Amino acid sequence: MINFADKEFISKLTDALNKDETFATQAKWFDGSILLESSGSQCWLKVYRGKVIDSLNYMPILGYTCKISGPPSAWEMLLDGSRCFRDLTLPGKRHFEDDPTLSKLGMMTRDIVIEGNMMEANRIFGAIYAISNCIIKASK
Amino acid sequence: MVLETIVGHYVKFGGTRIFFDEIGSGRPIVCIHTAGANSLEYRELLPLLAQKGYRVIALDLPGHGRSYLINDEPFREMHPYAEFVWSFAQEVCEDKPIIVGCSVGGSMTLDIVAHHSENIRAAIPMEGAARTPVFPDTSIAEQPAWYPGWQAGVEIVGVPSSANRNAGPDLLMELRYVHRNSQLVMAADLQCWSKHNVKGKLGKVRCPVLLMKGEESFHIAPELAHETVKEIPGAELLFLKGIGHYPMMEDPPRIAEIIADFLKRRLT
Repeated sequence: MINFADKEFISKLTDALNKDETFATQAKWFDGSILLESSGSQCWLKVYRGKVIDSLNYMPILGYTCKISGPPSAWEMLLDGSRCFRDLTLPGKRHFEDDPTLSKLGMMTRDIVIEGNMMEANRIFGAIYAISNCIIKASK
Repeated sequence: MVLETIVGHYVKFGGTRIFFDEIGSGRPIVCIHTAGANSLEYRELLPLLAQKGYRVIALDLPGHGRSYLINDEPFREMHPYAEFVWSFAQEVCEDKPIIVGCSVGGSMTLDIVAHHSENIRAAIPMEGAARTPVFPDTSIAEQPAWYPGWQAGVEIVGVPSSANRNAGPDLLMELRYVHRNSQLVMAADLQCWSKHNVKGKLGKVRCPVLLMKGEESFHIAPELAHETVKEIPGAELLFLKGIGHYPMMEDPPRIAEIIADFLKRRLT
């Protein structure tokens, strides 16, 4: 199970992000913070011009620019490759293994949610995608 | 200099000017692209199908690629959109056409067969279904100022993550390029996709239908594909191993073989 508050995980994630060219390019003009959350465990990343310049294993009183959160089961699907990040974050019910009658068709559910300042979050769409890739790397 | 034998045309039609690529001779196949993309999605499949004895046409839907919108407005409902494409097919084909489409084009293909199967030789929808309300309402995202980051989302996340997991960088880059149309038309296409529903109207379809679904695409649930095929008399369903949401781009030779085989078996 992913534990965002684990200091070793945060160190590996920060390291992976600061080596990731896509993250550096996509967050080049970003100045803000990103909170990752799973069932209470948190990782706060301060990002400035394409680099993670600070991190905490809890959310400071400063809050965050945007938050990416979901239940442990959703993060697990990302880590084991059974679903991709877009599938988990895009609203819209597209899986019916539990619903053979398709009664939930059209429901706008999502497993991992991006919240906060969406204007800023949408400016760094590519960087958020890079974060999802680096979470997978850091969790191995 | 080597000139490609695909030829581009314009036809003034339906209150606008529609662009289409064409190659080959024989029974006509009309190909419909995915949401927010253009006919270049079929550039590799076209000559392969032409080599198998077909006249193959791929149009740019209104507002996409080199086709203009009609009165500057996109289609936001699938049925009138499908009727427009059906009229286009009749305009450019002297013989009964075979309709091929993917994603929004796949669902559109099913709308067309639901209403015109007696005049269609065969239909091959890919990554479409009788109903596809599996996506949010995108009407709130039509304007770039309403939804900054849309294009980045499409190019960096949406399209690449919809292809199969082993898709190479060249394919991913091409997918990005063919999805560089206006935000308005893609948001409108996805409204058509979300609201599309011909369930209950496919029971009287009289032409052969092959529905293809990429096993690695999450857009169409297998349950929706099964539900669709169950309703169409004699329809076939094929799950494509190692393929995502863009079969004609991810493995054109394989798709050409599948289409040619299906048409050979079912059109005697």
